[in-house]
This record gives sequence, structure tokens and C-alpha cells, in this order.
Amino acid sequence: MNAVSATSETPAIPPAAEDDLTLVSQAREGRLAAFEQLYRRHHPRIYAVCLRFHRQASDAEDALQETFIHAWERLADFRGDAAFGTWLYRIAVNTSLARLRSDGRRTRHLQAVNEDAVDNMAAPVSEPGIRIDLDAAIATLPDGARTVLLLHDVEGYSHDEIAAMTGIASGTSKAQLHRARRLLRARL
Amino acid sequence: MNCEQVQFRIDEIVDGEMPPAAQAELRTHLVGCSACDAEVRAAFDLRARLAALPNRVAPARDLWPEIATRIATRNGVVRQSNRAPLAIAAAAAGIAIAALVALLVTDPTEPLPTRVAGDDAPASVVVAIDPGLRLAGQAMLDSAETGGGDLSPEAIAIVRENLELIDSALREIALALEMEPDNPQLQRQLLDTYRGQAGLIEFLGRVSAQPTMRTDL
Repeated sequence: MNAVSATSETPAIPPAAEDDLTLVSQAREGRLAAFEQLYRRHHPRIYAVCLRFHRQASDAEDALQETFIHAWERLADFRGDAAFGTWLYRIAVNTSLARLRSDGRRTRHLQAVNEDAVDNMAAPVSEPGIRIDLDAAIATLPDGARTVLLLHDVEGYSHDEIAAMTGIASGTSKAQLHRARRLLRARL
Repeated sequence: MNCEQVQFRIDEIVDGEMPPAAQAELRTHLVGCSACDAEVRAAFDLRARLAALPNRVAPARDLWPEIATRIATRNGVVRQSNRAPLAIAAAAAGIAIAALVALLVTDPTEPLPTRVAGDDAPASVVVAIDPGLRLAGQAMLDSAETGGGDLSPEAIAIVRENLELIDSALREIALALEMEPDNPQLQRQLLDTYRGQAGLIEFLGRVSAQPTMRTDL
């Protein structure tokens, strides 16, 4: 499996010739060109999220596409209470979680075995002075632990918010976070 | 506080949720325990590294053409109108679509041939093989614009804009194929984009042929 590591590339945010609300308004009228501008403006942020939830770049690309298609279909629901980027970001997280759940249903029996194996796996051999890439280490985590780690430590959600988003108990979220951090420290 | 308690409460420490009294006990323990001290430092270091991960990453390729195609294909970007249809133009588009489908969609699982006019023809030839489809779409819109047809001026402008976008996407994909003619993902993308273009024009034809059939034809 090719573990995905996020590149250090940090594309500049395109200048906002027109604000998001104006573009959203035009996109709601069916103007795909306006929606393309929104895509150009926001997709690096969304891709970064998708990339961390999915181990393979191709899966992250699919999640990115689904996010923007869902956003297009739900433009009427965007009321402007939050920034468009925040609204979009939430769709990306939910899309990624749904994809992981779907994948999980397909591979649950394998995952149960693999998660035990991951917990018991020795830390990768590292030579002095060589540190494992953080993204690569995150990609080795079991799905449940990785999801909570990303939502809490990278994206800044609270355990209660994570519980609401993922359908697990807040206490389970804390336990998964503890496990993820322990595993990561062992690998790094 | 002992080592086991430090391990158990390490998330509280890192997340700043430990009560002050316990913090004092922790400090006392860390002064005398280098292993726990190193563990707590590593936990803080990890937290900082996670928070500092880049939050903007560009995909390796431009995904917009596929998104635009899927949007256009899924639910259409054309607003329906209840004005009279453009039956002739719709028929023209239907013919073009049928020709395109016969040409390209013989087996959707097969990679799209990128060289259709001869072994030495560049991949961009693929784009040149279907001017009929693009022209049919333009003809439908021109006819609607000048002939007082089915679609409102706003809808015509939107369709025209979206057809141009798809056309632009096709050109970009063809350029990419010139660099990587055997790339199956690009080949699939090209085919999907063609389908999107066909879907949009077919949708336009369907809208044109809908409810308010002209009685004077």
C-alpha cells in the first residue's frame, strides 16, 4: 500500500476578485464558472483534509470530487451563517467519514485483525538522526484512531463534536485519541 | 504521582486539562523521573507537530474538469423553460450524440484509443473528431437565441458558458494526453468529459422537446 504523505507544498490562496458570497449566489443560478472559482480558491484546503483521512491519493481525489459535487447540490442550503470555506470544510469531513465508514463495512473483519496487529507491531526501525515522516506515521494508524486524531489534534474539534460527527461516544473518542498518540509516539 | 499515573493522564497534561493540584504533583514527579519527563516532552512535541501540519495541499492534477463533467452529467446545469421546443436542433444533437457514442463507447472498460486517425496522429486528434457535437450544441443555442425558442436568454447564457467550460476541459485533457498518451486515467477522464458534453447537450435536447410541443410544426 502506498502511504500518502502530504507534500509540504502550500499553494497560495488565489486573490479574491469576487467574494465567496457573490460567487455562491452566481453558482446557485447554475453558473458553473462561478463554482469553478470557488473550487480554485478552496480546493487545496479541502484536499489537505481529504488526504489525511484517506491513505491513498486516488481516494483523496475521489473524496475531493465528491465534496464539491455535494456542495454544488446543496448550495441552496448554504445560508451564509458561517464562511463558505467552513461550510465546505464540514462537507469534506463528513464525506471522508462516510467513505471511511463505507470502506469499513467492506473490510471490517480484516480491520479487526489488522488493528490488533498494529497495536502489537514493533515501532519501525529507525536509525539515529532519521525521523519517520509524520504523515506516513499517521497513515499507519488504525482507521478509528486516525480519524479521531485528525479531527482533534489537526482539525481542532472537541470530543463532543467528534462524537456527534462520527456516532461514537465522547469517552470512546478520548480512548481512541490516547491510543493514536501512544502509537504515534512509539513510531516517531 | 507515579509513572503509571503519568502514562494514564498524559492526554490531560498535553491538552491542558489537568487540575492545578495534580500539575504540582506531576512537576515533582518529572524532576525525579527522566523517562516520564522524556515521554511528556515527546507528547507535547507530537501535539505541536500535528497542529503545524500544512493545511493547504495541491492535488497532483487538476480535478476540476472531472468535477464539472460530473455536475453537468448528474443533474444538468440548465434551467428548464416552458417555452416552445427546438425540435430540429435537438434532433441534430441526437444524431451527433449517437455518432459519438458509436465511436467511443463500444466498451466502457476499454481504454479510449488516443490515436484515431493513424498511428502517428497526435492525441489531440481525439478532440477534433467530434466537432459535430460541439457545433450541434452551439447551433441549438444560436437557434434558441435568434428564433425565440424554448429557452430563456439566461438559460442560454448558462448553457453556453458551461459548454465552453467543457470544451476547455477537453482541450486541457488532450494536452495532457500529448504528454502521457498511454495514461489510462487521462483516457478515462477524456471519455468521461465527452460523456458529460454529450449528457449536457442531450439534456438540452430533452428540455427542448418537452411539454409545450409546438402546434405549428
